[in-house]
Parts: sequence; structure tokens; C-alpha cells
Amino acid sequence: MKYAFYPGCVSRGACPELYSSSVKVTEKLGIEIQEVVDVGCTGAGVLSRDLSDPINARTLAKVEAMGLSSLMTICSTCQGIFTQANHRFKNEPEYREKINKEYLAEEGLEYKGTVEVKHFLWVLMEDYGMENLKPHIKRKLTGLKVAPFYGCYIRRPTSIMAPKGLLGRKTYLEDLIELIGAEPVDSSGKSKCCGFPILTVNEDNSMRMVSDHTGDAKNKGADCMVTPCPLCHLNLDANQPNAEKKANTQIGMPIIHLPQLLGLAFGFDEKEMELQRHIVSTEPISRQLEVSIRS
Amino acid sequence: METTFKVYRFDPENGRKPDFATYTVDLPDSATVMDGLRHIRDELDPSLAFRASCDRGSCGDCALRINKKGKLGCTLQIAKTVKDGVVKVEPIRNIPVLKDLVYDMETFLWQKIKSVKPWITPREPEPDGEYIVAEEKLLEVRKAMSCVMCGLCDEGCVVIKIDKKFVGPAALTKAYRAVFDPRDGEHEHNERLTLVSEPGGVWDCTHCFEANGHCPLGLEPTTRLFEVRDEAIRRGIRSGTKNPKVQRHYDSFVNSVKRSGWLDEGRLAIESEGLTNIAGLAKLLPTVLRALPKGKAPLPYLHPKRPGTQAIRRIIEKAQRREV
Amino acid sequence: MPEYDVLIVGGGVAGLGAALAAKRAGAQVALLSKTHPLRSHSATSPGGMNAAFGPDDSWQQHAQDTLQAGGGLCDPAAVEWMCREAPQDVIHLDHIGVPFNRDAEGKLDRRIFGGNGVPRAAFASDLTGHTVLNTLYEQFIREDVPAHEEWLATSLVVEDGVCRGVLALELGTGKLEGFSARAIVLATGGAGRLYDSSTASQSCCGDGMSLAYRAGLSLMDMEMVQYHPFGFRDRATFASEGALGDGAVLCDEAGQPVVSMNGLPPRDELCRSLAASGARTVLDFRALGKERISARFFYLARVANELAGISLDKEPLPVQPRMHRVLGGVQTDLRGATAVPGVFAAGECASPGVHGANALAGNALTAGVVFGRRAGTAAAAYVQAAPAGGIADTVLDYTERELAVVFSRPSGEDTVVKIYRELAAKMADKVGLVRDETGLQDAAECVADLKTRYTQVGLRHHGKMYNHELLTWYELGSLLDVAQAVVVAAQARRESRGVHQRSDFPTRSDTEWQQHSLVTSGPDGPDLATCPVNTSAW
Repeated sequence: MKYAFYPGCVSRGACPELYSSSVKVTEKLGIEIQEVVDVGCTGAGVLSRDLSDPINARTLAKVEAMGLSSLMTICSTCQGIFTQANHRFKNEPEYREKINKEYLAEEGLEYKGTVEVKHFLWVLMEDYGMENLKPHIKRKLTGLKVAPFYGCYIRRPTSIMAPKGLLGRKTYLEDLIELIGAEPVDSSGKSKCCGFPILTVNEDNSMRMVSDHTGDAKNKGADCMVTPCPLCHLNLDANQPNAEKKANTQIGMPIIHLPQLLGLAFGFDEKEMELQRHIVSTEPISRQLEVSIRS
Repeated sequence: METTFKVYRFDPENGRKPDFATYTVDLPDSATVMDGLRHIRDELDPSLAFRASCDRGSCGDCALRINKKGKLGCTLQIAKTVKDGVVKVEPIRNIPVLKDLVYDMETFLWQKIKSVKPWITPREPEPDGEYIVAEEKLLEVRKAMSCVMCGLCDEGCVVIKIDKKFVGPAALTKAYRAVFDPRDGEHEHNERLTLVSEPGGVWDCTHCFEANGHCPLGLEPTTRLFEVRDEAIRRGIRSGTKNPKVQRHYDSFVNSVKRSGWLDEGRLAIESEGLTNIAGLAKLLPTVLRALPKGKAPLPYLHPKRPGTQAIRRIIEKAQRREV
Repeated sequence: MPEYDVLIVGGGVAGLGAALAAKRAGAQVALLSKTHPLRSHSATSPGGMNAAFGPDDSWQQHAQDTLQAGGGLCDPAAVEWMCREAPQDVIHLDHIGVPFNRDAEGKLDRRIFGGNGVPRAAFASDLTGHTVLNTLYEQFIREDVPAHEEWLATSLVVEDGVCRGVLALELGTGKLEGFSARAIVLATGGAGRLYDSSTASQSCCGDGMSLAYRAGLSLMDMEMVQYHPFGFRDRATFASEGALGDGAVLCDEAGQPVVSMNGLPPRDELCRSLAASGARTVLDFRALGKERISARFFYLARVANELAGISLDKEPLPVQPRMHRVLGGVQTDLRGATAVPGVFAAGECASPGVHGANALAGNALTAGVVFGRRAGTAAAAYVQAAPAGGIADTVLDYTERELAVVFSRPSGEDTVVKIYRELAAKMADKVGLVRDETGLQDAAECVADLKTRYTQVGLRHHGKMYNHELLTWYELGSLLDVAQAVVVAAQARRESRGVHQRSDFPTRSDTEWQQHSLVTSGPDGPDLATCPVNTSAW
């Protein structure tokens, strides 16, 4: 199956390692992706839906124009905004038509409501399948304790992000962590907000969330946290030193992107997965990897 | 059905630390958790305190944490919650407990409800008869008003957990009721939207949609909060009077997408602080300095334009013209 | 001591309406309420409020239907004012934001209840009471009226025949305090907990009726106890009677319709025939379809699911008659004034004479709204020339000593809860849908016996904070007063009329009994008197 690929702003900006690791891993797995380039930001939940819905309808119309019916994201926030908007487009045909008429028609575009938007994590678990992933595992990450961090946008609103029939979505990260031989660690904040959306508005609250989540993962014995969302990554990684300072504590919890974690198991080395780009040192991961290679 | 109730006990009068008491009750299969608590209070331990009024899910008085989930005790049958024969009952979280299962709603909810001024001022000209209003316009207002003010959405809110000043999804759902009531006066409308855009208001919400999952009536508080925020934006209210940073952040976001189709993260960070806000910009510096050598600090204003930018700008400009 | 011009006791629809009206009239007003206002029983009133605002309706027709239902016992003057003013009140409620359902033209939609000649109930899905309560509360907090929440009024203070205030107990602390007021508006709600298997909230214990009774005021038409045909089988809740008008069908368990809307008998007759036949009935909403059910029975659809495991669009809801409310209450005039200057009453605790021997379905909220407002306005006018309130320290001291006596009684086998339960069971058993002298005498003796036990019963729990046993002790005291009034009046009325049906006196006797019963507290127990129906205005 071929996917249109929507990398999102952050993987092309502050998290280039997410972009490159996603491309490398999908290539390795033989998942065919074609980037949709001439489209805009989803609005990230910041922009009013009056602005973002037409922009997102345009993106989905472009995917249809490419002759594709699936759009893959690598960002929970993009995914969340797309799912919510697409839900409106699919369930309220009048609304969709209005947007088509008012915003897309002049470009000769029309969104017919046929596109499924799927996060990389869902693509792996629902389309590609765990069984097909297994042969790609070149080294088991035995002994590595990984705390999954879903964040919020890929989980809620539950009625559309993990509806009946897809309840398994609540444990996909754990399933993958186990598949590659690592050990999932449960932390209290794993499906809570990372704090990024309020970073500008209320830095104190945002940083408190960062120190709570990373601190709890540390207390539960995790070597690192893995997230399917670059915004969670940015807040938990790049802002972790700020959060430590505000909470007057030392945490040092490495935060890695989902494709990076998988890439390591598929045989890529840390350099290829660009772990060196992270703000919080990924040293504990490297140490554990050495141990597991030797044993 | 024989059930073990583990009930949170705290009585400031006896000076003991909070603990759990265990009671065994044997009630019919249709019995609710409230039936269980009443049975305990009436038959086993008259000192147990809890609130309960309507006993039918209409008044919101009996919100409790039952087997780790926020619920209305009067509409939850024991059979639907019991786990291994046990029903654990605690006060809701993030709220001062007064005694046992009785907690203090005053600062948690009542004051916040008042703070959003959720009352209707009849729109001018006030008709002699009723307002002529389409049913579709009142349907959602009515749903929002069916809220029983149980506070369970606030109980589950991740922001309130760490910041009691956040007005929260319950009060903002109450605000929704007034914001989207077509009978409300114009002036009050804008005043309220400004009020909820102040610090501690809609912009402090992470829109993580926790509240939707916690509302026992399925009223989707987060979704409504979002709609309140979008209505404010529609009316040109992109922040309250006391948090100009929110408006700078919003405008910068829009301008960035307009210019290149994408978000210019560096520009957003700088413009949110304000280009002349030296102290604010200085605060960003350590984060930037950490990110620069890692190649994680995209340079502001040098963001390459993406193809399609023209069309996206046209969409935004058109949508903005539709705002009031 | 807090001092106010007007103190409203009770925060439901009538109480909040009274507070707003008194404030509008310029009085310094405050509210004292046993629960938070939003936890009031008004929140449970589903169906709608009658008002003749439709083009095919008139206040006269509304009055006619009300009088007809009331079995000759309504005061026409009171009925006239209620029906004349109700449309304006509905319009006002619309203007301040009650989200009444709209018709295709955007005007107020109307729903029909049994006994009404035309659809005349304004409604908000089946959340009418809830949304009226919430809307009034919005205006109440807007006006910034001081509110003493979770305070139980324990006695009216009347000196030299004039209202001076109330004593009240703070539930959270167990503290007794005097509230000085030139005028009191009692709006404490009904006394439904007098019966087990009623539709009443936990709080409906006749508090205000008892306060007035103990202050020497008369309780009127107390024998009139209404049942509701669509109660849940084992829950204190019910489906709006508007269900039938909206297209639901009442069937027996085999699915055969029991009544049609055309032939719908008045509520009391329906309850009696259902109870007499012993048939198990169900209310079938399936013909409405999912969308209409959601639009018009938003609340019921949820709780039918949660409490009875029924999806209204897929299966019928089992129902049975449940005691609904005491129709009588504190005797008042058209302004809510009682015989004691400065004491007013409105809402379910009051009886201005609009319900008579049977309340017309859809009139309960209307009466609460109209007479709540009227009482608030009247109280505000009264205080302009009224003597100051004020409660002597000795009064408070005396009450505190009384309470200490209660606390000092040893707790034994007998408990407050036992007495409460026996009372509610006896009332349901002997003073229910159909009564007779033997049963009523049994009930009278039982109530007397329970009253004696009440004076001896000790409390098992002596804490000050949220001592529910103490609250129940007060509530039980009120219920026993109300029970005595109900039984005495039911014994006296040797005829059958409206909701009061005597198997030993099955016919209506207008020559002897077209008059109100009045029960007052005498030195040797309740005194019964009668007064003629006030037909002066018509």
C-alpha cells in the first residue's frame, strides 16, 4: 500500500531527526510513501477551526488528487487535528461542501471525504502488522526499559481516536516495545498532555507537566521514554532542563521518537538515528544497547 | 449481591489521619453505589458523611471517585463497577475534603462558574413575546445546560491538577451556554468572551480532551471549550486584556502559515515574547543555545516557502474576512 | 447575627424566583438553603410548565382546565392569577435564557399533558425544571444575592405575632445561628419523603410546612396526595407524563395499549386503575424514533439506560405509579402571605389554592414560578413598613439547650432511621391511593406512636460536622408533623374527591365538603378546621 506522507512542521524544523528516521525506517520496511509537499500546517490546535478546517480540507483534497486514499502522519498533533477535521468532513457533508465551494473550488480542488489519515504507529500496527515487523528486527533491545508516552492527541477524543473496534490503540506502543525485546514501563502520565500546547501561555504549568511526567518515568525505572509526537518530544526533551530548573531537581530522562526506537532494533546505529541531536543525553540508551549486544 | 465497600474516611473532629473503612453490604442486583453508601450510613455507621440529593442523576450532588473513576454514585449500579467483590469510594480529586466524602465546591467550582458571568442579558430589541430562534440554535445550548455541575470534568482535568486557578472545563461549558445563546445581548457577549480569554481561561487549556472522557453525561466539555475559544477569535478577541502574549503567539502563528504555508518555529518563539521584550527574549536564550549546536534551532524568518503557499494565504485571508 | 430585610428559605425554582423578585423590588435579600440551590428538587422536574401563550389558548381555558382537574377545591381567584400571569413569566424565562424547545417557526413549542384541552406546556426537552432552575440561578449569582448554603432552618422566630427571623443549623459545622429578617419566604419544597416509593429527592421532607405549623400557621388541603403513573419500578424517578402527548404508548406487558392520549384519564384515575388492576405496565417510546427521543427525552434516555438497562429506542420502559407530591401546604393568600405578618410561603410547601383536590399536570412548575415571584415581591413590599427583625439571645440559648438534650439521650435499639422508615411504609400502606377509616385510624395511631418514640430516640453519632443523623432527626420531626396533618385531614374528609379517594365514602359530597381542610397545631395535637373555597373573584 502506498501512503501520502505528511511530515508536519516540526519534523522539518526543530526535529529533523524525526523526519530522517521516519524515512529510513519506512524505506527499510518497504512502506511506500510519497510526501505531499504543496500543503499547509494543520493549525496544531492553535488556529481557529475557521482557518484550519479549509486548509486541512485542501490537504486531504490534494491526497485524493494524488490518487491515494491514505495519508500517513508522524506527529500525534497533526494526526489529532486531521482526525477531528476529517470526522467533521465525513459526517457533515453540508459542511464539507461549503468548504469545497468557498475555499477549494477556485483552485479546482474538491475534497470528497475518501481519505483515511493514519499515524505511522497505526500504519505499523493496523496495516503492516506485527508479524511482518518481526523479520526486520536485527537486534533485540533486551534489558532496555522504555516508558511509552502517547501524549493526548493520539488518544483523545476517545470516540474518534480509539473507537470501539480499535481499542487496541491504547497499547500499541507497549506492544511494539515488547516486540523489539525491550521492557515497557508504565508511568502515570503516559496518556496525559505533555504541556506543549500551553508552553507560551503558561510556562509554569507546562514545565510542571514535563517534570511530573519525566520524573515519574524515572522513578518507575525507565531508561528512556518513547513518543509518537514531536511536540511531546520537544517539550519533554528540549525543555527538560528548564523543567528541571523550575522543579529544582535532576531528571535526565532521554526522550526518543518512535521511528528512532524501531530503527535501533532494525539495525541502524545511534548516529544513523541521529540520537546525538537530542538535548537530554541518550547515553543511558547507548549503554544498555552495548550491554544487550554483548550478552 | 454481597459487596465489600472500602470507603474513604476523614473526620477533622477526631484528629485521625484519613484512612479507608471496610463495610460488607448485601443489596439487590439493581442497587446503586449510593444505595450502598446509604445502607452503610443507616445500618452500619451513622458517622459516615456524603452528599446526595436527587438520587437520579439530575442534580450532580453525589460525584465521587468510585473504583478509581469519577462517577455519579446515584446512577452507577454496583454490579457495573464492582471489581473482585470490592467497591472503593473516595472523594473526587483536586478538591479540599471537608469530611469523609464531603468536599468543598466553593473555590473548586462555584466561584469559577460565577467568574465567567454565565447569565443572559436579553438582546435588544427585547421582543414582547418570546425570541424567535431556530431549534437547531438552542439544541446545543440545552445540551450544555443539562450539565449537572458535578465537577467531574474538572476532577479529570490535567491543568487543574497542577493549577487550581485554571477556570476549567465545567465553568467554560457553562460559558458556552451563554456564548452560544442567540438571545444574549451583544455587549455582554464580547465582555464574556474577553473574560474567558484572560489568564487562567480558554488559552490555559491544553485541549487534551480529558474532560470529554470524564463527563458522565457525554456533554463533551473540551469540544465546547474549543468552540468558545473559536467564537472569541471569530470576534477578533485573541486574548484577554492581561495576556497580550497569547495574541502575539496567535498572530505570529497565522502570519507564519500565511507567509510560508508552514509554522516558523523560531519566529513564533520570538514574536510570542514580543520583538521589543528584551527580558522575554533573553529568557529564550539558554534553550536556543542548547538547541543550536544540535541543529535543532531553526533560524527565524529564513523558513523556506512551501509550494502552495499562495493558495493557503488566500484561504486564511478569506477566512479572516469572515470574522466579525 | 446576619440581618436581612427578606430571607428566602429554600433555593429551588420558587425560592430563587422569590429572591430575584424581592431584589428587583429593592429589598435587601438573602437566601438560606438546606442544599446548594442547584441540588434542589426542582432540578428533577422534567415535563414542562403550563401557560396559555398559544394562539388557540387563553388564560380562561387554562383556568377552566385547572379548576376542572381540581375537583371543585381550587380557589378560582388564585387560579385566575396564576393563569393570567403564567404566559408573561414564561416569556420572561425565555428572555433570561431558559432553552425552551422551539417549533418549526422558531416560536415556543408546546407539549400537551393529560387534562389540558390544548398543548400549553412550554418545555425544554425533559429538563424543564432543571433548566429553569439553572437559568434562575444564573440571574441569582448575577445579582450577587448572599447565599447561606447547607443551612437548615430549624424554627421560625415569631414575636408579638410578627416575623423576626429564623434559627438555622449549619450542616457543615453543627452551629446554630439566628438570622434576623423582617420577612421570611418559605420555599422549602415538598414532603414526598413521607412515602416510600415516592418520586421525591432525599431533601423533600416538609421542612417549611413543619416550620409554619409549629409557628401556629395552618396547613391546607394536606389530605391531597398525588401519585404519578410513570414512576420507575425501583427508583425514585419517573418519565414525564408528556411522554404520552409526544407519542409514547402505555401498554401492558403483552404490548397491548392500556390508554390512548384521546381517552387519557386524569392522572389520579390512571394511577388508581393501574394499581387496582395490578397490571404491570410499560411505556413504549419506540414509535418516536431515536432522534425525537433524544430531542424530547434527553434525560430519560440516559437514566433509563443507567438505572433500568433500557434503551428507549429499542425496548419499552417498565413503569408503575409512585407517590409524587403532597398537594397541600402552608395556607397563603394570592401574594404568598400567611396569617403571621412577615411570613410568606411559595412553591411546593405552600398552598395558595391552585391545585385543589388534584393538580393539573404541567401546573406544578407554573405555580412555583408565578407564586415564587409573587411572594418575593410581596415580601419586599411588606418590609418597607415592617418592624425590624431580631432574635433575642435567650431564644438561641434555649434552642441550643434543646439540642443538647437531644444529644444527651442514650442511643438504644430504636433509631431515627427506623422511625423514618416505619413512617414512610405506613403512609404508603394506609394513606395511599385509596383510603378507609380503618386504615387511616391505624395510620393515626402509628404516627402518634412514632411521635412518642421520636421524643425519646437518641442519636448514635454525636459529631458536629455533616452529622446526617442529626439532619435526619430534624427532617423526621418535620415529616411527623406533616404526616399527622395528612392523616387528620384524610380522616376528616369523609368523601372521595380528586386524589383523595375513600373506599368507605366513595362519592363526592359538595354540600358537605366543598371546602378546604385546615390543620393547625393545638395543645392536644392537631386541630382540624375547614374554610370555604374562595370563589370571590369569579
